[in-house]
Amino acid sequence: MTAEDTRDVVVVGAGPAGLAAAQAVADLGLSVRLIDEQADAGGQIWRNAARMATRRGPLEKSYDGAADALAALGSAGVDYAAGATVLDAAAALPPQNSRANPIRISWLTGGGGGRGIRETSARALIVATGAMERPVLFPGAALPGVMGVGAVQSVVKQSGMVPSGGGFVLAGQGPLLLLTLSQILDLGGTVDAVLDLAPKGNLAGAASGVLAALLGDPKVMAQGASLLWRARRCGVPWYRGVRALRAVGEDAIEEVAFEAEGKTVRLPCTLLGVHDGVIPNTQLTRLMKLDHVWNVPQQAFAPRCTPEGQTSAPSVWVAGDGAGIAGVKVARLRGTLAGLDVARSLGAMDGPGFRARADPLGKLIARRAPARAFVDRLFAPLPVTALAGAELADDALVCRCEAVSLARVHAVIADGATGPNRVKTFTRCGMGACQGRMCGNALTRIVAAATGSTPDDTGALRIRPPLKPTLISDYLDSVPPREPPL
Amino acid sequence: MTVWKHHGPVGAPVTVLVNGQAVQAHPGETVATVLLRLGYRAFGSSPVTGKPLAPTCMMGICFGCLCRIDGRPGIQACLEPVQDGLSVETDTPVAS
Amino acid sequence: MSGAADVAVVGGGLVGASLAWGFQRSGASVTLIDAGEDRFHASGGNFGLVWVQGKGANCPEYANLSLRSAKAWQQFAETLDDRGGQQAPLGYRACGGVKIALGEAELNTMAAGLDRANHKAGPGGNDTVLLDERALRDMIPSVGPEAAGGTFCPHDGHADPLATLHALRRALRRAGVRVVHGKALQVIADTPTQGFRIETDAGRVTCGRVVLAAGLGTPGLCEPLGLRVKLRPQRGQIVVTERTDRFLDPVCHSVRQTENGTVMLGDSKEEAGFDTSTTPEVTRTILKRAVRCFPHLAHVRLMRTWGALRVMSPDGLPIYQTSARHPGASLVTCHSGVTLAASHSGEVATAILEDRMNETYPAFSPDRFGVAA
Repeated sequence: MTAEDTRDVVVVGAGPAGLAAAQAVADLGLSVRLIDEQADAGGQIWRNAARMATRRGPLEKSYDGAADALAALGSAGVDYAAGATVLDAAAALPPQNSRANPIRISWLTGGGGGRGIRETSARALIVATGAMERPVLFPGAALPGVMGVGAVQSVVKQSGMVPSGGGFVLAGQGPLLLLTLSQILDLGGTVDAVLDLAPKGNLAGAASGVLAALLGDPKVMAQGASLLWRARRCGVPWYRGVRALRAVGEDAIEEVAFEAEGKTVRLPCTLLGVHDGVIPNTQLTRLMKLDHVWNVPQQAFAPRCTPEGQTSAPSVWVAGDGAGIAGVKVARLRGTLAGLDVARSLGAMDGPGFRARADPLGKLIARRAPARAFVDRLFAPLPVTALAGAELADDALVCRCEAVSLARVHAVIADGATGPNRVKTFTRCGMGACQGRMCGNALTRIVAAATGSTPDDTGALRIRPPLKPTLISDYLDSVPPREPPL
Repeated sequence: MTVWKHHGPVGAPVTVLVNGQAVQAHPGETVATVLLRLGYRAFGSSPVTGKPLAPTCMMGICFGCLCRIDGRPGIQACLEPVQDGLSVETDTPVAS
Repeated sequence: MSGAADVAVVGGGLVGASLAWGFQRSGASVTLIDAGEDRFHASGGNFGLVWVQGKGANCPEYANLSLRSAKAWQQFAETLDDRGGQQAPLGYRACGGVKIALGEAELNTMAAGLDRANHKAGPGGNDTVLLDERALRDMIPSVGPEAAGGTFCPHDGHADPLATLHALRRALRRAGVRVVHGKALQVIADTPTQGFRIETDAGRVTCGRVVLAAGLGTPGLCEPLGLRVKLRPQRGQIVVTERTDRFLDPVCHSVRQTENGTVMLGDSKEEAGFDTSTTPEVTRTILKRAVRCFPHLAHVRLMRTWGALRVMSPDGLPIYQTSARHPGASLVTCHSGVTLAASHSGEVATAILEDRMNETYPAFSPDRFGVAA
């Protein structure tokens, strides 16, 4: 069944950026549809805020600002749809975008009020779908028990649990790894070892920017230094310059094997948290065929946009980590800024009024840039095949859903697949359950390197609707009874 | 062997059915975190290789946490909050 | 830079790659020019039917070519699929094809159409028969209660178009065929040598013969060579599901269960210019009909939808031409690149090399569109 409605603005994603954007737009009298696929708003960093934000303790700081931001859900003019999934979105381009409502969103309502597809048309769209952890390629990465470090942190926040009893190892690099380590230890969990995958020399590469970073965002730098200090002194065995990482086991991980300081090490391991940074989640912006640009320090695509977040489609804005990784504070600022720019563009705010509010936000955002650049260099992403194994073994999977190995990807590139979509058609990489979310970033990097091209020229997987796999019955007015075929 | 243990207070429990067995769960948990707590590391198997399939992202990206929930197949367990009476089946068969 | 090839083929999709392989196997040296995945690339969006029934209702030559190609498909697939000994090489099954009629009215329309076609074709047509409801259910037990019958042709089948293209490209590479990854910008007849110069954005190619097989990219190259083509894009939208238990062995015209268990659902015929977007309205139309044919599909998840552009001539028939002004220049376009792949790599490639394309396929000449402006 399909219902139709209209709003001034649709915001997709109710994390820090989306909440700020929805608030800014609603405060100026515009009507907003806020769509989020989780049961509770807050995105990743403010996961389970209702229960965790008021708890004193190691997680408290992460929820700074959450309560205020979540007040947006109750604002007049904000229609919040929780547990709702966007299936398709289209933005009319010039000259058709002078139509009253150039934005069309198809979305599936949550379980509560009865499932069904709704079509919302709007004058503008703000995409605030945030980031995802960068999947890391190494042998055995597909074994059960191997997760992202952010995933482990999600469990800590969502369910109030920590890993304990031994067998939990962290591998990777980056602020999220350091933060999660600190939080888990402070909450009484146990970590057996940290495998530092950062190549030596990253610190030297980042050192030249440290002064500007300190001046620009002293708080973030202090927090980072404190986490690093903590990590060195927490008593958890720390292996530096780790290479040749492998998850070993039959039906699940039983051991983690690696090389450090010239020696081969094997540790018992039943939960391995891996991390090599976060990257923008571009699934929706790609589905909408917006232009994207490769961010070299972050080794990921982000939608091309103005400082206010307006994309290559004049009625679509992006905000938050989905527009480029910059952390929660910048996400909130960019969310507000995008909301104001949308309001100005729809005539709810005049030029001078906009500048009066937008300029200070722009300055605050700019001030934080050097610290971000420093962090990006200090934790420069690993080369995509750094851990895949020297002989391109078949157990380093680029596409887990369709079991496509790195060796197979290279073979079809040699057959003439000169871009990620040809690799997809020749191997089914990207055609599986996750619709190319997990393999897309690596595929672009691998194909670019193999063809001697740049990621911008190589391009990315084409993303098609539905944005998430959907039961056919959800599209129908009447559903036949569930019976297996003869 | 890694186990998941609570680090703080939990709310009033609800009862969910996991593969036919009644278990306690707490508001705030998702079906995926309940399964992890119960010791499941894999929730299904790959339709391509038949090997165990497990969650890696816990945020709706990787599709490694698919379960049949309340009779509906292919639901991302990491996005599904627990409710009293909810039923979960793991490793639901996928076609040859 | 290597010397001139005997034949250069412009277009590395199913049509171009099939022809190139045919030329190569006849002993010619071949260069393939392929502009890559960002171009229109109809081969990437194909449904995968190897289809005979209903083809060429008004053109026996087309009907017969389709039938010949379908009969040659098994051999074509076995030769190309280097895994060897496959039950379904390149995913090809000669399983017979069905068009399902929902309700009596549709069945009557089909019956009338079949009558007309049989009258035209005379004895020995393409063996398409009408199925009543009982016969359809015996053939496809999973069909829904609204099914009233249909038409069936034993020569119909389906294949994996992506695996086919990959196999062709791999075979060409192994045979040492040079592939230029670039877009052909201009083809110039070189009068002294009677050969051709092809300027691409990846360098120049010289050749004795040139064959244009670039689908919707063909028109821009024709004029200087004395070739003529009349093409427009016709969009078709396709939906593909997750893998599901096997329920369909013959292939239906708009429902196809692939070797790996996924189900492809089609289709539409839209004049949408070069826009390959899918629309919620057409998606819903496709799904509604699919569920009327196979009710259990309602409980299966759809994974992906896409739009692809058929390379459509005004009458839907292929356009094959060798230039009168420059006899070394030919063009081959059609919207059935899967069905005709076997013939393209066989009889059509041979006809081009033996300089008798125009005489062999007079019904496909662009002269049928009237005198050129």
